[in-house]
Amino acid sequence: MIRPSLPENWEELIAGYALNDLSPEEAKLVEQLLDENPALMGEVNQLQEVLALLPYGLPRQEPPSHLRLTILEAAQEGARTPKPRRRTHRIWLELSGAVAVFVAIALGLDNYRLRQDLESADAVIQALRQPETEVYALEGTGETTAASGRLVVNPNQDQILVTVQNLPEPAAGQAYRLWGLTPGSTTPIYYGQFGTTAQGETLAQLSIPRDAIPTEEIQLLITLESSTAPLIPEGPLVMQSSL
Amino acid sequence: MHPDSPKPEPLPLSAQTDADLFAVLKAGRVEALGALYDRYSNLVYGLALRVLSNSEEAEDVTQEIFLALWHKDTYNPARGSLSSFLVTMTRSRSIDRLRSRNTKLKFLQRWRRIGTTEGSVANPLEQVSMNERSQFLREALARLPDLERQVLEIAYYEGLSQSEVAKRLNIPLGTVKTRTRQGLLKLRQHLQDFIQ
Repeated sequence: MIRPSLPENWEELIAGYALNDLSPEEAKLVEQLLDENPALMGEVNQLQEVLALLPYGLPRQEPPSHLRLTILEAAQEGARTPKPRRRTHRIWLELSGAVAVFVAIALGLDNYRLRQDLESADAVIQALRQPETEVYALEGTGETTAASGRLVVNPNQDQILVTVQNLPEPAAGQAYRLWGLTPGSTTPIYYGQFGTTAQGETLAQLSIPRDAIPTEEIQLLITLESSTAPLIPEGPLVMQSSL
Repeated sequence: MHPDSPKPEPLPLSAQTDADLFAVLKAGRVEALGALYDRYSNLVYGLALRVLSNSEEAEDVTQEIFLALWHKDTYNPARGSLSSFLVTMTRSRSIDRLRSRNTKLKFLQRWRRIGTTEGSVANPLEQVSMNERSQFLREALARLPDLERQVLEIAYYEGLSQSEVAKRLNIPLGTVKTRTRQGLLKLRQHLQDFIQ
């Protein structure tokens, strides 16, 4: 076909566009050509499709067999519609005399742990005093199914409290990180990191921005990570909020 | 039709077209994601592995790609085939990781720039089975002059710029550009020859 308006090397230019290797001058020329001849976009499209066929020429590589399940589970996890109420119990504070005992029961803390963390326990008590306080249950997954815990959230404060039992003490240089995943998103919110004792316990207080306070729609996840790694969850999932 | 003929049963997912599977996936049925995974995981994982030379990272990329297909609305069937989208996204993410620079945005911008091409089958191997695609590609690549194949593969799998390729192979920049572009045009021609 005669295309009088096209430069002689138009095909090469279009190939360069598909390959993304045009010089700025060439790119300008191609943009102009595409504006004047919208049908050329079909050529670009086709060459990009051809380029995308290149990997078919690679030797066949099977991904590890567990990956399929991992992906489908992760997909279902994210797609799960939030149940109307996920928290295990909403505590309308009527704490009178036996505040510490109540806290110990609610959070599954033993007295020893409570004594060790008087200051933190005080924070828990303060949090529990607020009628808005909500408590979410955390359960262990995979190799750490024995782990259990609670997350105490007061939406009016910029702190959340995490208590955990039976979660092995992380190795040196490692920490547990708490994340929140909003429905439909694949980018988790990072809440903070903590360790556990040799007894597998913790009572951690995390400061978080008020606009990132966990809500019942958010899936809570705890992973084991290097304590200095970038804030992207890459390590194994050890606990999650129970639905 | 013979009166005893059984009623036609709906196609199993594994026999459905990419477009149909994608529609089922968008309707929220995770088994469509499974079927697409069965169809394309070798390709996605193999490409990520070729670029990254690291099986763990290739696994991560594979997971990212399929979950993005499930969660995000970046793929638009009007703009190209699903396999091309998966491959281009996989390459882009893998090279991102390789070079720690963000080419994803670039890719998505380019993807959006591509207009709808009504009625045309852009992917010349759209109607061809996966095994045939592999066979055709190997043959078509083998027909390219060595240098054209080499520059095309380096640019594609290693994400090197033309001047980096020129330096690597110790040949002039102009030659790299011409050979890469010619290589792509010839590859298209060979593939079209196969299916005609």
